[in-house]
Amino acid sequence: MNAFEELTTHRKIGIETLALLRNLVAQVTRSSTFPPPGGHVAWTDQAVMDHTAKLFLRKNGVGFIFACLLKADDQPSLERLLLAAIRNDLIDEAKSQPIGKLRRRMQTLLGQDDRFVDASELHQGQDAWSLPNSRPIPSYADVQQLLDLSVGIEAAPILSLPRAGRTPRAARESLLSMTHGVLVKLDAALRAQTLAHFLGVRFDLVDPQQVTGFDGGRASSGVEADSAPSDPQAELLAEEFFAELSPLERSLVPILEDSDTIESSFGDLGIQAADALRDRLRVLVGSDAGREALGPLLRMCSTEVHA
Amino acid sequence: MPAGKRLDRCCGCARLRCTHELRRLSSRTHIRTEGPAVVNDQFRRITVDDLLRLASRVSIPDVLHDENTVDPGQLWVARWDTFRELVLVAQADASHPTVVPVTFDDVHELDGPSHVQTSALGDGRAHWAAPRSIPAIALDSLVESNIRVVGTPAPGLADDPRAEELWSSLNVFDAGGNGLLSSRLKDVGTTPSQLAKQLGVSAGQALDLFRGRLVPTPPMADSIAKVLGISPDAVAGLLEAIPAGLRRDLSKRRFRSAVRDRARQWRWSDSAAWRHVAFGTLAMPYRTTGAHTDEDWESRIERYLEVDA
Repeated sequence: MNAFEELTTHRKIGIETLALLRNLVAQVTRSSTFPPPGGHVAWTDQAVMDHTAKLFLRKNGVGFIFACLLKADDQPSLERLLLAAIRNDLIDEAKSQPIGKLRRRMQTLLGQDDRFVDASELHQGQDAWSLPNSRPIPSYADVQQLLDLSVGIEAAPILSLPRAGRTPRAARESLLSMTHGVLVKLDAALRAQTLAHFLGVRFDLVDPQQVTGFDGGRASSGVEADSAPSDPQAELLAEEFFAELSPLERSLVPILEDSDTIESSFGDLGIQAADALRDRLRVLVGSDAGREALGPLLRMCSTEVHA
Repeated sequence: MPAGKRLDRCCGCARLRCTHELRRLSSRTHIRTEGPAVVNDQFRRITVDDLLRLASRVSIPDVLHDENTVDPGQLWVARWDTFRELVLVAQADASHPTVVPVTFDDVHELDGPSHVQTSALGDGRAHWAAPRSIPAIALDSLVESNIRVVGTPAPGLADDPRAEELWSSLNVFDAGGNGLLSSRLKDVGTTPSQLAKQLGVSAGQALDLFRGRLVPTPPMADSIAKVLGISPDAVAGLLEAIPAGLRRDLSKRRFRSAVRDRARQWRWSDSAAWRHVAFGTLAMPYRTTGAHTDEDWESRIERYLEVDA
């Protein structure tokens, strides 16, 4: 029996339909670049399962499955319809994420500004931006490289950005001058998604709660998860400490105890830097506030590494 | 699985190492850990059983196949040829109700008049920017009546450019032929008797075909297309135009099952069967008393379907 027969004859969602849904979610997510659900860093089996559950649990329930069933004639057409529905849902989900929103905001802002030109043809039709005089080549710079490039580009910090609607003037200036500065240095066409990701990290617009962690499979730490925002003093201290770190040191923080990886990734230079970093961290954890700051600091560093 | 092994499995993941590192640090320094990954420990992993339990709470909605009244606020499944869409009736009409597509796979930031609430399928989105008056005969089954639209749709319905593509498969109903088939056949030097031989039909049928008064079956259309050097779809455009009144009445939902039965029986597309019925009705001798009016098509279609059955 297949899922179509299960749904039409048994008139219920059973094991076949669930298996089909999980396969389709896996198929869509592993062949594209949709961000994994909260709490996951990759589209693992569990992440696929969690997303399938999310399809069931959300406000609309299973309406989309029934809508597909009503339109389907047989198993292949049901699969096609579900696949399209799952993909559409993921697109909307990505659009509703902070980076997706920022990307759409930047599309609007850049589209209205003569300094920037649409360069999607250089990135196989994916949204991309360039400058009129840039070399007509695609740039594959990642967020870390962009962050390194952005050192020295002056832009006022963005203190707040409304969730939707028009971009305030000050924020618009900051976003556009940062984009312009980076594109000048890149001298190539940059994907809109990478640009939004970079701007989100650079201006600290990405909600830390959205930064995903590792998915399950570990024994509970026994520590009560504290969802309340961290102590502002600790955050401040972490920010200060973070600001003083070089990009290399920022990459080292999350893997500090893993000397092998440090050596293989960064060589002797990394080992030396790690030693110095350990000493500085020891000083940091000497105070209560410093110990509190360790959590936010690790989060900042790992966010940057992951970005 | 020991923790070390799990860590190895995900060695590329810096964030995992961050948490791991944090815990190692914390055991040495006795500090309280708080990292993003710890937050997830409070959730239990979701299993297939959980999903089955969730799924068991929902039931598949019943649909009505014999409902003929098309009213505003109804949610229908439209099904015609390869066209499949869930549509909300915005304006009722026995032949050509105006409908808008409704989707249920996009519920992010549902707001305003695009938000529709159904009991069978949950919340959906009505695409008011893509309205279209479609033949009622394309409506297949009624999912739900009186579905609730949150807010009132904007009066000026803007045309969505993507709408054209969505509805394009229903354009067959608009296609009125230009009646040029006989002159085109004459142009390439084909006579009715040659056509009869070529298609393997009787002389009478060939004459009717020649005059554009008989809708060619799909194989016949292929042969004619070859003779004329055009596509089989273009042959339909050379037939006589179907009178507006006949088009209107044959678009009513009450003729759906008869037309679809013929399509199934002959293994034609729905549109081919529909055109066949239209031309059959047109070609059938019909006695009129007094002037021919536009009103009597419905009874003529009924007669034709009775005779043809």
